[in-house]
Amino acid sequence: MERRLLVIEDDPSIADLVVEVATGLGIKARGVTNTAKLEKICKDAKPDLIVLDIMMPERDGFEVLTYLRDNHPDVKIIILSGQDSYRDMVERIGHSQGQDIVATMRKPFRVDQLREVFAQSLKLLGESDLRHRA
Amino acid sequence: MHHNYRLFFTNQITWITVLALIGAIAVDYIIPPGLIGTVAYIPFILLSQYFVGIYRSYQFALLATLCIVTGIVADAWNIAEPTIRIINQFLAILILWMLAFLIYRNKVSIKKFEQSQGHLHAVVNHVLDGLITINAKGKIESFNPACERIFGYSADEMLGKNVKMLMPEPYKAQHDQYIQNYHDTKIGKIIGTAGREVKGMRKDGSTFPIDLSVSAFHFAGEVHFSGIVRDITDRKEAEAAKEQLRQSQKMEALGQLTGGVAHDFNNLLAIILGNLDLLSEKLQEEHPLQRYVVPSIEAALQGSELTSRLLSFGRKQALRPKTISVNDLIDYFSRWVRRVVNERIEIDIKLDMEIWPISVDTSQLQNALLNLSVNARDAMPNGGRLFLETKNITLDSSYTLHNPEVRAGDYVMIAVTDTGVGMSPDIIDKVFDPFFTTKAEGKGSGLGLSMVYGFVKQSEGHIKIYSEPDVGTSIKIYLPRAEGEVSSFAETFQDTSIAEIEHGIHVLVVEDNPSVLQLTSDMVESLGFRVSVASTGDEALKQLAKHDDIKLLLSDVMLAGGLNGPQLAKIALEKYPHLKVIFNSGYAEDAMRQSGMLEEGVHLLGKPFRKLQLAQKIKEVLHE
Repeated sequence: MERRLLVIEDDPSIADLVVEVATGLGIKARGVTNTAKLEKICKDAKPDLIVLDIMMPERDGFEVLTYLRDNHPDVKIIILSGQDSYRDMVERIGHSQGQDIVATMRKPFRVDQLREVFAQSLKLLGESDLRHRA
Repeated sequence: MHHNYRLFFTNQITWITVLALIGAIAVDYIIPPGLIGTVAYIPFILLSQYFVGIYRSYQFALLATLCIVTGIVADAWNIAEPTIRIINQFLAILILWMLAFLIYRNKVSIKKFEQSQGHLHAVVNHVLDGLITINAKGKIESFNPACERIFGYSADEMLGKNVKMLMPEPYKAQHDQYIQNYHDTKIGKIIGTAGREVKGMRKDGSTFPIDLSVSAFHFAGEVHFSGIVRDITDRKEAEAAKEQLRQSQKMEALGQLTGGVAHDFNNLLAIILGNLDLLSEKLQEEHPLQRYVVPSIEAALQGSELTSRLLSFGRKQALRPKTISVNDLIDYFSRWVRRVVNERIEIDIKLDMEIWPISVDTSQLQNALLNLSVNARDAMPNGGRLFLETKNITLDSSYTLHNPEVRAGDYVMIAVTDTGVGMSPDIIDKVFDPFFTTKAEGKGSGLGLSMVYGFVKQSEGHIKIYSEPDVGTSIKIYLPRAEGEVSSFAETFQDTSIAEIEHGIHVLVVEDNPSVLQLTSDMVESLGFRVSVASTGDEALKQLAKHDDIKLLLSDVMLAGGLNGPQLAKIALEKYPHLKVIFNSGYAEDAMRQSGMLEEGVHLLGKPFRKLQLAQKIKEVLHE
């Protein structure tokens, strides 16, 4: 089953990079650099997985996280952050709210690490599919 | 007042009176039957001096005039001749009024003198600045009440003593020479200058900053000196507090700046590193262009390590605080310190047994203490003593007054003190600045103390540095007292997972890039290992031959100048079969294994690695 990934990252170069790595793993990925039309994009793209940057100009990752929690609770999330402290914060917030954060990655990251995280996420998605069917 | 008598006796009145008496007696002989009656009035007029009021002499003279005119006295002496009597009376009245006038003038000048004297006295007594006069030999001639207050001596104690008593060394020793020089050359170093900052010494022996103005003057043919002393302790403290505030604002601004820059930099590095990774994968393993890609990856990783240090200075690192007793931590930590410092350094630990709990990220605190201990060690190349101390301290408003960035309250103080080379004040000002280092090029990153500073501030604490050249340095960390139960020792330190490693093991780090070498060896050292370094394979073999206790080789795979990592390991293992080896590389592990650079079963640590990953890997390798 083909998985859909949405990369929410204001820097197009990083978004492209993540999309390329994901595509290489057979994931159908697209990037968004602007969170203005996030609601529509999420509805259209129906992502299973989201890579989310925390520091963004219009709406930061925390707001996006809140939106996703309220509207797309099943989506798995991978956090990208330039700072340890944000990663830490997101992890705490995310876990306490029951949001499904698969991993948090600090920039810069290695491509191998990213692949690893995607592999884990796909595994988790498979497991939750099984649970849903059962 | 004795001044008045003195004035009286030196005054012309006395002499005029005497002359008048002699004159009157003479006239009495020439013009009989004499002026003797008039003479009787003279003491009467003179008496007026001792009555209060400047016009008293005129009143007396008026009275005397009336007496003379009515002839009461003259009749008593029975002077019959009317012409002589009128002349006599006229002369007598003239003399008496002259006398009265002189007494009046005298009284006026005494009053003026008293007024100005009293004014001067009041000024000297009530002026806030200390006023001292000394003679040409330095003996104190006057010492005003402000001086009594400033120095704690009474004027009686000080009069006649040498002014040197009020000076600490080195001023004390130089003072006689100063005065001598002035006598010889008439040019003074302090004398004649308006205000110079020197040190004074109180009766209790304490010293304090003073602003001193000295002038020379001549009195009664001798040179004297007057000094105006202003106690500038408060001003200096206010200046220090202001400086402290400026310093903390600077650090705050620097922290924000570096934090912001580091964040943007991480984004750029993410693009660079990610694309280089992809490029490296697209090129075939043995592709000649790989040699351009690999160093770029290394550089990006190095940049990433740098930004992570900057973030910790910028107080943006992730902290995981736990409520602990810092004594447990020091107790545990001291074992590392013994291995980090050399045997010429004696370690003294003084713990406050009633220590309050604190809430702190334990691994960061250990890092900070290790950083300080390594600095202390480097400050004592010839050995010395290292003190680790804990203490409960309440910082009150008088402390926060001088350290405006601190909040008053209960704190736990952790002090790391050495008896090393110390620092001068201008260096102390800069030690927490990022990239400031006094160590030789390539020996220190200049970020160690900045990270400690950032960590302490992020933990809502306070850090203070005291240092004196050739005496030593003391760095005090104040962390706020926490409420709640203290986690048990085991619970606290288990999850740092470094805890179980055998510390003090000798590790050889081999890396051709000097900055990466520095970063890696810092990290290894901060885990409590002893570290030797080498930048080439050949150098590494020399180090191995020199130190027979090296247990672990941590080498980069790619090494410039001859042997690469695996080749080095092969030679080393033939000679030292018990040596453990960990490679680290920016290359993807799979790529290297596939290309046959790495044999199966060797340990590889991919870059960038975090301290925890390194610790886990080392643990794994050592327990194999």
